[in-house]
Amino acid sequence: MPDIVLDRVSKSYGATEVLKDVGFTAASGELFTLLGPSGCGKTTTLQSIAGFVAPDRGVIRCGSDVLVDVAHKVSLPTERRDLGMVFQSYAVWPHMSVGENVAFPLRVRGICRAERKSRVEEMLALVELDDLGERYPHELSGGQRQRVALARALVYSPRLLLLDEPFSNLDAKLRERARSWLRQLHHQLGLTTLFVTHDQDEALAMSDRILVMDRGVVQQVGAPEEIYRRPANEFVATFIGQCNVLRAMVTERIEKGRYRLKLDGAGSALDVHADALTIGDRAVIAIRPESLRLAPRGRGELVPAANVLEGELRNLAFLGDRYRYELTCGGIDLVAQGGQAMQPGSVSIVIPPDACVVLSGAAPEQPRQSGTPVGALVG
Amino acid sequence: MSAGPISSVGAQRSVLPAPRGARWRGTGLQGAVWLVTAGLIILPLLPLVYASVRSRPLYEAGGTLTLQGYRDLLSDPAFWRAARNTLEFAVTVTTISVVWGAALAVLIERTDLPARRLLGHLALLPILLPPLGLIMGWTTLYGDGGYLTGTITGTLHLPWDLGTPWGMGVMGGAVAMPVALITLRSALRGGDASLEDAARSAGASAPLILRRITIPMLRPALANAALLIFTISLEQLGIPIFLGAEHDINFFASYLYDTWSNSETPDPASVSAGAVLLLLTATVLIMLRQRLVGAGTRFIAEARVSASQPLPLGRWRLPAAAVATALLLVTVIGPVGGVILASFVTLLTPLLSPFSMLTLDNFHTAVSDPALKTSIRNSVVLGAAGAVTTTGLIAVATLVAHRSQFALRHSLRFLMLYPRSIPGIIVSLAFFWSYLFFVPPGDWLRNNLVGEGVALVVRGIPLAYMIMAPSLARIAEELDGAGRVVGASWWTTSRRIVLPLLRPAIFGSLTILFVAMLNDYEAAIFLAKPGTELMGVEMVRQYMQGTEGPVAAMAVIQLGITAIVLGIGALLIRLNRGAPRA
Repeated sequence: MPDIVLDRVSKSYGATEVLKDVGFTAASGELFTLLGPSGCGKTTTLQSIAGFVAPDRGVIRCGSDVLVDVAHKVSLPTERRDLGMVFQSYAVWPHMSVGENVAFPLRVRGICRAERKSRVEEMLALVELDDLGERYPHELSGGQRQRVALARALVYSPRLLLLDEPFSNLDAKLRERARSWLRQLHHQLGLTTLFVTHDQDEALAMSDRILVMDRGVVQQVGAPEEIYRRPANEFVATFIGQCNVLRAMVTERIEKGRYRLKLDGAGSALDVHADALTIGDRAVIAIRPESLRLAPRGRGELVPAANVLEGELRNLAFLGDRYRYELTCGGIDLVAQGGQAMQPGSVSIVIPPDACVVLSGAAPEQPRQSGTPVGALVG
Repeated sequence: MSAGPISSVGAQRSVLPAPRGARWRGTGLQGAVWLVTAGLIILPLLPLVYASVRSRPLYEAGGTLTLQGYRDLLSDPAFWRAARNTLEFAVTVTTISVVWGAALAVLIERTDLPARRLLGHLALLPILLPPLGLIMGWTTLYGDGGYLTGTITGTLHLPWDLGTPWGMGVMGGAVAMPVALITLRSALRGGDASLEDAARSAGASAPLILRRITIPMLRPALANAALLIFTISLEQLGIPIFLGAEHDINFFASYLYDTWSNSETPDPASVSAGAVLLLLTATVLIMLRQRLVGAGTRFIAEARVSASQPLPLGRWRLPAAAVATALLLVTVIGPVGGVILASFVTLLTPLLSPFSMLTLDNFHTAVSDPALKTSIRNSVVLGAAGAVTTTGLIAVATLVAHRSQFALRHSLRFLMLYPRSIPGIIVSLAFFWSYLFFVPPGDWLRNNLVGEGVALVVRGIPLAYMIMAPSLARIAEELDGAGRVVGASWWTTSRRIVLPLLRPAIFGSLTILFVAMLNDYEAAIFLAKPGTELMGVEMVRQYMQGTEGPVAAMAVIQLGITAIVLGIGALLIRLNRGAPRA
């Protein structure tokens, strides 16, 4: 399987730059996800690879083949790129039966009838639609139509599979099943797959690696755990999962890789692990709600080497498998999660230094507005 | 769900042959379609402009460039009378058709009017039925000595004269009403009905909602319909010929036709000059309209998300239905009955019972008179061939305009709509000069049916495009994108995926174009010769010579063929809608 490489791909519509120097490599056989909010450029990226959008700058390669090289005026038309694609709407042709849909790519390649038949049968068996070859798309459920689209995209053994939000039209239960099924299928086939989604759970659950995009710019590329645990910046931290974002100033270097910061608003100190910080610099710290521990006031000191902040539990919500605690700590709102029901009132908030991720990028001092907490929870 | 057996896909990827035809990008075909379409629309207009500034007809040598044609035209008092009549007529037509069309559109789309679907279908008849037949129907009922004229002027004491620009305007308004109805209905469908629901939940009554919410929101569509109808009214030829002749009232188009037919010098430059002026006026109006409406978004009728409850008319429900039905009876169904009656009697007059004069002679004349007989055959042949040609060409041209990367695709969208602003009589004159100017093939074209056919094709282009573009917009672009991804070329994707999905629109276009071409008389009026007569042209010619009964019979034959073809078309479209769709 070839890899796919994008190198400084840019695209503007009028004054709006939808892709800014997007570059990445999806390795051979990898399930690589493009993740971001709607309008972030992930679909435009996929369409540039498919050939529906012509980039203004940059190079797109698939294996040794150059698909697009704007500087050298190379742009292979879509039909010669040899890619498979599943569209968000599935784009199953409504006037052809399931079998005809899957056979169409073979027909345009001039495959003889007998081979066409056997390949279509094999492919329908693979997507578990063996008996439905004669049916028309309007007689199928959403999940079945999605599998027809997948069969059609795989039947000619393309070198790359592109999936454009393929689960967004399925209901929650079916989506879960389709995810694990597709993941399994990907393992079996080992096909390099590019997957576009705006659903972070989907991205975390399925991908080998994730690329997070915002406003046409690549924010971070990494394995799901890395993206979740070590977000590169505030956007990634808040877009993936829930996150407490705190603003602070670096006040002291305790030892190598360990610093003390003073939180805005609360005035409390927070010890964090970080590579290199400069005293006097401002910083943004991300803390996942599940890494905060609560203890009755005064008992937090028992946890060794951890930061302990005194705060107030204002509210708690039962979420089925866990509780969500809404806290306030010296004017900062925080959210935590845990398995215990607790009474609202004074609590100690325990924050392990490891759980504090110091984010890169400028951290301007935010002017405090009434009603807007400094530590905002985004998720 | 568990994945099935490992297949030939994947790790041990078997390489298939490259897609066939994928090296062929289809640019050549797209370019050819662009050239043919643009050429058909632009080229014929050039000799017309040239003829208007030459001292002699194009076929005579030794002419000089001069503006004498324009001077002759502008110094002719008859021209100014015709221009004033045209303006008066166009204003009347626009006012009547827009007011009535808007009222009907709101009643049908937004209220609980009884039988509103049926009324909606019937109200479209005036643009589907042969215009000459309707005009004759109006004369038999409401013209001088018409069947109902005595009742209107004598018994009801209404000031009524169908031969005045105002009277003709009433008739024109009734005939143009469907144009307003279609525009406003699609605007109402595209609009958000929940805005009205919101007013209702705030306690507003139905009339208040219509007055304060629905109608104000329709303003852009009203302006759009008004401009379009005003432009179409400027080119009206049949109404002044049939209704104005007795009062010696000419409109712009009939003035040009009269001058051409009765001029001492053959093919005078002043007629070409008048045609160019009319063309410029219509073009400016249409461009104004495009600016007003915004060219691109016009076709995308967004489906209403929720079907809202129609506004209850309450005690006005039955009276409103009665008025709407009565108006349709008076303006459409009555006149159709009138022309049918006129075709079966020797003389139609309110003074004698028609049943004492029943005869089939008119039909006998229609099918035995050599010119009339030939014209029926020619019209049917041209209608069929023209509909097939135009539909085929414009189906592909619409794909080039909306579903290709062809460099000049955007120009095609404007070009295909442009002939709508070229008055029929000007199309005819333009082709008359073109066949004399572009030789060959003009010398061959002007002497046979193909020449008239080409003119009819140009007239049909905007119709075909307006039928196909909205349907194409409803076919998701991902469907052809999916075709390209799996390796099909532009043409294979068009042929195997998009065109089959466009089938209902293609049948619609075939039907409507056949009917339009069968009933057209303006585009061929300067082109028809002995042997290449068309029904409409021959009807105009014979009516001007005083023949009435056989012309009425011809109108009934047109009506009959139209009804049959519309029926078959509706059936075909219905059958194809039943085909599997996502």
